Amino acid sequence: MSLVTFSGRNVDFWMILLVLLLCGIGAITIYSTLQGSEVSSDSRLHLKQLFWIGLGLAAMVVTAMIPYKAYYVLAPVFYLLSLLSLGLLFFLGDRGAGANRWLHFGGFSWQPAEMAKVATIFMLAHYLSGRKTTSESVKPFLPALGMTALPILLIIQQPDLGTSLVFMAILVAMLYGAGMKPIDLFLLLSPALSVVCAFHLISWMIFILVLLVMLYRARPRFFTTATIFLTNFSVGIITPILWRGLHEYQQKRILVFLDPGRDPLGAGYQVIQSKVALGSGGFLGKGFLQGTQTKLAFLPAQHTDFIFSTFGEQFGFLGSLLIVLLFLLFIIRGLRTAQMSRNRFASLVAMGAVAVFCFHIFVNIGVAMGIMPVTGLPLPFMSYGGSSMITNMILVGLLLNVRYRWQEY
Amino acid sequence: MRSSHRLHKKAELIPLLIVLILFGVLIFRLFFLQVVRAQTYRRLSEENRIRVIPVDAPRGHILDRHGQVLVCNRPSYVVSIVPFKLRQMEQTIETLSGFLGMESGSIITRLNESRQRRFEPVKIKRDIDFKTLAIIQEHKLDVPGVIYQVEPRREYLYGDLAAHLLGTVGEISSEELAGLRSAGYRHGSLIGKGGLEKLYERFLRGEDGVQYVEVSAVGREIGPLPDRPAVEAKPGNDLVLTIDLSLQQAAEEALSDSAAGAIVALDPASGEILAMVSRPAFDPNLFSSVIPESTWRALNEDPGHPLLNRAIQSAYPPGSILKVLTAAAGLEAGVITEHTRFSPCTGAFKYGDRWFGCWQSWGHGSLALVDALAQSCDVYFYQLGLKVGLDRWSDFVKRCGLGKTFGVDLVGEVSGLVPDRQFFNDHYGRRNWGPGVLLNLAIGQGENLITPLQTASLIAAVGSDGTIYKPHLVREIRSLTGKTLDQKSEVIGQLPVSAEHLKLLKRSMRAVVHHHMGTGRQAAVAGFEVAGKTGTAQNPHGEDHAWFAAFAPVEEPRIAVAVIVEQGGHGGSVAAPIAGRVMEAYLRGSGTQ
Repeated sequence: MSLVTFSGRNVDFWMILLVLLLCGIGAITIYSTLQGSEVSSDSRLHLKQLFWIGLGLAAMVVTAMIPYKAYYVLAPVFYLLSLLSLGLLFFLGDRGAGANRWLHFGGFSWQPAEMAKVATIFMLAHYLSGRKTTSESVKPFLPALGMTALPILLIIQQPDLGTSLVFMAILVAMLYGAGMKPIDLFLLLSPALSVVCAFHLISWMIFILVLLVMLYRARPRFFTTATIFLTNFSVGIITPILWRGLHEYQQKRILVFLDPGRDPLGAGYQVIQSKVALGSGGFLGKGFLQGTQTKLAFLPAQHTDFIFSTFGEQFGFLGSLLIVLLFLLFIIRGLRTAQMSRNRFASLVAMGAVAVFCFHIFVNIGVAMGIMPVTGLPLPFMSYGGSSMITNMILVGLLLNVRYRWQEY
Repeated sequence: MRSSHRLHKKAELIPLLIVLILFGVLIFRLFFLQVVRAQTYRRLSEENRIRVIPVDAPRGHILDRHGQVLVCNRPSYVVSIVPFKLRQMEQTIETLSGFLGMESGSIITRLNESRQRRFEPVKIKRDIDFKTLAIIQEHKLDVPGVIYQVEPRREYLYGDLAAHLLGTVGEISSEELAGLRSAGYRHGSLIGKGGLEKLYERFLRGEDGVQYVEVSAVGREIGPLPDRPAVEAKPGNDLVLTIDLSLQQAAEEALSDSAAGAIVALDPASGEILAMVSRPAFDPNLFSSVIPESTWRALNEDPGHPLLNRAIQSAYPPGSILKVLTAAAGLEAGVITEHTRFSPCTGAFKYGDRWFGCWQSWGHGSLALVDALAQSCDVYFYQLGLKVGLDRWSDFVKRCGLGKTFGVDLVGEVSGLVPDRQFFNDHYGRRNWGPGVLLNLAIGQGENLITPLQTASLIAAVGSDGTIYKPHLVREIRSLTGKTLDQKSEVIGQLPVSAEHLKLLKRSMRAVVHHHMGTGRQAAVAGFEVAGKTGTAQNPHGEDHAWFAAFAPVEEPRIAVAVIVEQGGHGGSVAAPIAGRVMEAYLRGSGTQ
């Protein structure tokens, strides 16, 4: 495999086209946020975004060209480095706005959590590709839990709940890709579900019932059964206690998600204004640069977290539907890549990348439409921002990489 | 690295299915928001960006009967705070309180009172003077969020002239607002608080207009909305009063030496009130902006009660003025004729074992009706009263309209009192009073109570062949497009006295002023025939109240007037000259049309 033998036949032009389309629409939408009367941000934000897109494309090409065998070999090194940089945040991080997510070197600012996603995908793929898929035992998969838990623990300290959950999505997708049975996956992740259900007695009872049914069907050994059951049980009891230990803003976000009217001027305000922006766009939208919610700054974070609403106000249901369908095509294309690759490591890497995209897209748009709690996750390719743009482009590069070499073992 | 890995068919389908479900949820939700609920959200987005700015309607003017402006509006400056623009709230409020001479606590109270949206200005102090305005303008940067606006302010051009009937305006209170919000009132709206301003509020007020302005999320105004034209404010209607400005001024002037008292002058042919004065008075301009607590307390607790409209809200014993009615009652009952004489007046009259004195301690001798009224002989009327009897007397006086309100278009008119058998039974017990009370009643003392307005109306009725007109202050309500209400004079009663007897009463009252022995000679107006009656009301708390009631000219009277000077002493020497000056001013002046 070398540049000389480069063949266009295996390049996924469809994916490149989809990514370019989404990036372009994103830049145009960012431009539209700059036409309002209350612009406080840089008036050349769309040009900066074009620069990030350019840089991202370069990163994508580089990532795609390096044979993935190199990533396999370097995976543990990447992983350790990213854990290190996450750890560095505790000493060097920029303590602004209550969140501690950025590292600065020279003129650059960097979010280590972004790179940690890629590194964790590599590490999990590296580890899982060496395990038997047919194994009846769940044991070989357990170290994967630890590998994911480390970055999660470091990131949740920042505190960044949304990004932490991305790692959960990566883990689930890759364990499934590695051949774990859904029922085992359920039992493995049941403590997490127990946490969610523990906020209400009835939902938790139902969960425990389902868990018992699953345990009966899977019939693991007695020791395992007891461990799983006891873990779930104790987690369900401890959660309400831990809830009180959460940051107030985190509690608030969850509560306001359940009832946005609770705090119409705080986090609920963002969701309400986002829904108003989307809804008032109607079927055809208010027209390019005609969004009053956007121009008059009623819509918060309009070039970052709520860019979908910015677009939806101007281009209506038809425009928003187009975006969702473009993303859907992109995800399906990514899944196909994961499934056609003959190499287990490559396939798992692709699976992880797709999980990252899928999670970001669903949560970001879900937030904009008021069906997800406000997590602060950017929309891939469209939201303004260098860190996430480059990470996403690297992930696209990996998908192209896997696709290009799908026949290799 | 292991290789040769392909997921089997079923395993490939599950992720795809999950992805399709997730995106299906998104599309479903998108459809709900942007298609199903689009109308609702469109409306919400409009409400977001459109601020409705109320435009105060100019309040109607108040004019005298000749169109002279008494009350109008002038532009004034009001200092407001736009809450969302406040920076360093405490410091700014502190600085501002220095400029305005207000306590910072009351500024904070006002800010909290109007829980409007954060970007709507809250009025802090109205009608600031130009110097204060200049100071604020100069220190604009020290008080971010403080702005000033122009608003119309009520201006009473003649200060305390006619203050009691014009009334006052003030900021609507929270309690008033609770019931009136639907009528278009809002926080800071001005509303009539007394007098005509209150009674004719709905005519004077007009309809506030609105402006639609596009605003951004932080509340900055972007500009007018081309597709939402402003609704113009509709000015209120003007009130044209029956008051004659020059007569009112003359009446105010005539009473200016007296500490407390009232004058009511009206047109006997219509009941139109030509002048109404109550002393002591106040300046209604003080109320037009937010009245300082100290000023309000001073006015409210002043022992002279300057806020009280004595012309309609104070009732006094009528004194000898009531002898006119006692005489009429006797004539109508047929117990006397013009020539009837009683036992001569020796300065006192013995009834039972009690002596009742005449004001003239050396006595009047034997008098017939005309002289008895002219000289106001108490002894004559003691005997006349006894002849008429209590029931007949009180019934007659009530039929003349006393003891109840006359329905003037002002708030708070009191009814006065005509004592009768029932009253004495209720107050003293059935056996604890005797027929002697009638002696005092017949000469207008005792428990009798009458307001200056009632006195004027009654005397006017004598002058106008017994017709009692409803006294009123508003002639016409005039909108920009024309008259909306033309108040016709309204007859509310008739004195139960025959034309022949009325003539006799007029002749007697003329004698009060023109007879050389008359008690009201000082009310004479050179060149005019005047009919009147003095009164001196006994006042248990001090000096007697001086009364005089009159009309002129005797034939075809054009003005009837009642004057009371509290604790003034004798009606003939104190009240009569005042009444004379008032009538002279009117009769010598342009008169009326």
